[in-house]
Amino acid sequence: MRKIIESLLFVSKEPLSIDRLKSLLPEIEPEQIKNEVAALVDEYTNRQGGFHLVQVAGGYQFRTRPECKIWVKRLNQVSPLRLSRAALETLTIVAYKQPLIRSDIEHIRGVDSGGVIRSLLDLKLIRVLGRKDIPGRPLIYSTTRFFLELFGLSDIKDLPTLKEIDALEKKQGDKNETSSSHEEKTLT
Amino acid sequence: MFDSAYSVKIDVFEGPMDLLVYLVRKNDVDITNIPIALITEQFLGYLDLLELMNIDYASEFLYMAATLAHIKSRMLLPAQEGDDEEDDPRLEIARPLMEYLKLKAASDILEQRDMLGRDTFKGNPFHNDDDEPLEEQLITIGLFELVETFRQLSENEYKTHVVDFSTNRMSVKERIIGILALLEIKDTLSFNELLEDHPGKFMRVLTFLAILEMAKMNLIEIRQHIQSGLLKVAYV
Repeated sequence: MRKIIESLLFVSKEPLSIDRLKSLLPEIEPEQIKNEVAALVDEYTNRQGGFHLVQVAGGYQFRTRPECKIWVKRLNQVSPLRLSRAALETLTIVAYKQPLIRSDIEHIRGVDSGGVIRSLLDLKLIRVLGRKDIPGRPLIYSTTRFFLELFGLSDIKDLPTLKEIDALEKKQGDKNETSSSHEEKTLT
Repeated sequence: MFDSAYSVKIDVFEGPMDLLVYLVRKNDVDITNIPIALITEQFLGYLDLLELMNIDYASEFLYMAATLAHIKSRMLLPAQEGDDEEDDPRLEIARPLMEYLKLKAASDILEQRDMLGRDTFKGNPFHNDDDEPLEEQLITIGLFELVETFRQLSENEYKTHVVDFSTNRMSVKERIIGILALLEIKDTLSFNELLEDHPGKFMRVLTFLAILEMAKMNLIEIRQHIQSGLLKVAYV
């Protein structure tokens, strides 16, 4: 069983979801598919090889290990997607506040964001969900599957919450403070 | 100064929020306890500097400066009974600032993730898009992209004033037949090719409707060139 699932995962272009595997393999017990995939993930993790099986965009996909990137890049001459700071910032706002409209983004960033939104749409990182039923009928935006794939997220809920980030920042801030006060002490 | 003869656009501070964050950090002040007078002064100082260098800044900066000044003026009013901490006028700027900082931190975290094509790569020697020439890869096109193409085509049209007295106008059905005849000769046609021989809004709308109708009937496939964004129709 495991080898069948492994072969499908190997050949698939898109991340394969458990549901998709279930429909492709009606002869295997659904519960077993789940277990076998989990076993495969463990197998590749334990193997410590050049690639592993990761959970992205609601499915599973073989990907090279980040620590091998310099060497893989020599082979793969395609230049990676580069996002400007403004684009990344806007994308983050869409990711955390979706579904939202342009004025929501501009309210947070305090700056005109039409151009950035346009380029994120072109890059297929965000998409139009529809129009909001308020005067002007503004477009509603959300992130795409490609966004999840690009950042290796299984689900949008995979992102750390803003509260968690806040706590993390505070922790780091405290650390810096204690270290600086420590320095002061040693100086005096 | 020279009247806008020489102008530069810098993006050191992309917006007023960016500048505010910079000032707060530079002065090492607590966001919940911003010395408004100091920050406002430095904020305006920066705007003066920009003006001196003849750099145009967006009106958003002025709006922020006005907001800061307004907060300061409200703080000068004597506290009234019933005022509690929640009514600190500085919250008007502190809240959005905190929100902005939080999202900035989130965007840093996002940036540090293993990005596909930068830190990690997906395998599959058989599927490296060799099976299809790169310029003709099929991608799904949403309704909004179709509408956008139509809008762009409308913009390109010459603004000539032709009065049309004819009443015999083509129907969508006739247009479909026309497009099918063209597709018989050439397998794929770009939107531009379909529209260039037929100027006028009516023909464009008709062609557009015909294409949508044909796509609905599964007669044709709509493809988009990845780089140029050019839309093409092809026989199924």
